[in-house]
Amino acid sequence: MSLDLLHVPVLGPLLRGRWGRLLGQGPLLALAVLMVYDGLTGPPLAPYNFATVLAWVHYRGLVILALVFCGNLFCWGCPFTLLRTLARWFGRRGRRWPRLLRNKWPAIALLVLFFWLYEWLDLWADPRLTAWVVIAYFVAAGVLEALFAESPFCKYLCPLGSFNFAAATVSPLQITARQATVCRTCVGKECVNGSTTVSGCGTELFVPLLASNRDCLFCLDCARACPYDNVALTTRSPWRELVADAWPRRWDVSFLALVFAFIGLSNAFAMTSPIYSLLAALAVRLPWADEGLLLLFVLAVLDLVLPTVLGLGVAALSRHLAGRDEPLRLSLARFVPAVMPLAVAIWLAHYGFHFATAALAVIPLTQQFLLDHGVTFAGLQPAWQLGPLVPMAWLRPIELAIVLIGLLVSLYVLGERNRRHFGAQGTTVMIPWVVLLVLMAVAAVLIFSSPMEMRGSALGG
Amino acid sequence: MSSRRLLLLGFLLLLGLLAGCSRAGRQVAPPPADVVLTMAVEPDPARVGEATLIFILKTSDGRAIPDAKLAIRGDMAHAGMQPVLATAASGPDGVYRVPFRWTMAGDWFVIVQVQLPDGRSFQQRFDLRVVGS
Repeated sequence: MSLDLLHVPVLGPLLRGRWGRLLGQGPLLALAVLMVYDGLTGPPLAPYNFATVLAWVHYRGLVILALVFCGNLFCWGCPFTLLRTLARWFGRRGRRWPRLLRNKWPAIALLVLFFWLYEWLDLWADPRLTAWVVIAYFVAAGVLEALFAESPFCKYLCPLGSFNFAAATVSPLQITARQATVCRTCVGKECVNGSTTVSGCGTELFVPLLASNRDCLFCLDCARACPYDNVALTTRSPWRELVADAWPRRWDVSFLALVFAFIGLSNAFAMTSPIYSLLAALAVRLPWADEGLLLLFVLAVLDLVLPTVLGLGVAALSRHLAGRDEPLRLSLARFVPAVMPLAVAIWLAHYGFHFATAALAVIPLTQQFLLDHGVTFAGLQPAWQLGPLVPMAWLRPIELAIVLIGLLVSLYVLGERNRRHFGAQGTTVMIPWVVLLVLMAVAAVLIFSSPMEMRGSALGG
Repeated sequence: MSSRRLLLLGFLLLLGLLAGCSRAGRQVAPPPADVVLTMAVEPDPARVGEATLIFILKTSDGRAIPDAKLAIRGDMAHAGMQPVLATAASGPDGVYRVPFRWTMAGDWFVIVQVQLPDGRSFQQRFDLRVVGS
């Protein structure tokens, strides 16, 4: 029994309304402007600036919480895509995005690049750079939306979007068609083509064929465009699309899932003491000592080489155990969705940690910001002691519990996919994947149990 | 020029102004020329756990300044870590010892707000790296 949020009184009409998306985009645009303003003109220290606190504490924490407990709300409310509307307003009708780039390889490259820049430039410690990242997002989204007909920035490039698309595969909400028969007889296909007044799906998804949250911005343009009111936003079990064969069996899609999982590990690893020992050891063994190059080397290994080698390795082993003569691409795609619950759990444990330790820091920050602007009604002494949502002692057990739950759901998905493809007799086929999942979970537990260390710059640079 | 292009131009100008400006709201007084504040930590190098911050407040010609008020705030370079707050009300011979706790390894900055006995006040920042215990 699923609930259709678009047909819940008050909420449904609000979301489906012409300006429904502005409910999210308006506040997020205001926050983005605040971040740029404070980042460029405010205190240069990260804990005192909205740019760094809102981006690296609140945005990251809330985005993963929203994805796990609701859906892709931050793509729905993304202010960068407002420029899509503006670009259309300026009357540009762009070309099609190049066919060669209509896949997830650019997204994978940009995701890895983004997290490398994040570590190398210490974005989390630099309000000014963080503000420029926000500006760069607006410019990149605006330019690409103006130059090309579809939404290539969202679908093929945006690192935040790639992250959201990947994690949304475990979200409990999904766009579906209310009645398949209505879609079968539909002539205009307005959900994807658009109507005279409403754009169709920016990422060119066709509602009756939707089986996954991948590439869905939750913008609800499809619901607004549908002349038959046949689009639903329904609840589902978080593993539904992972158990079903809902993903295309493509190399890029499979690798995006693996890279998403391994960046989760490397990003958490980068805030522990051992990474600095590793970088220092590499600095004396490798022919270059430049911090950026060393980090690039480490992250390339952790984020690209490791998932490639391990992913292809377990897929090949699994294919061997199955005794099937099939392309490795199919063997990889068969089980890779099972990685997602654990991957999302690792991200949730990490970003949830930062959010739980500092969510309330926004209160004294706001007080200080107002004082800086001569506004005193919020108090003359910012309550800097505010910060954690829960006692710090709870956080490590919570992190470990989240990883354990993620592993268990991953194993469940793996078992279901194995049963679907091989029946009850083929349990040995999934053993290599079980080993990979357990190893990833152990790595996550070791990382979260390691002493944390957060430097403004690695190697004392 | 159309109103739309003017809007775009205005937005870009505003962005440029923001990038070039610094907000004047938070005026922080630098240390006066005739006062020297130094900080030492125990243990040294700083390690995660209990610690003591030792501030030495002198005139520029070396005379101790007792009875100043020091408000200390330690922050990590990372956004969102809870700050460590402490105060020191007086110090014999211009030496102020403040019990402190480094809660995590990494880069820290300690900001000291000093109110001198003569009523003047200033703020000074010290950066340091805390290693694991």
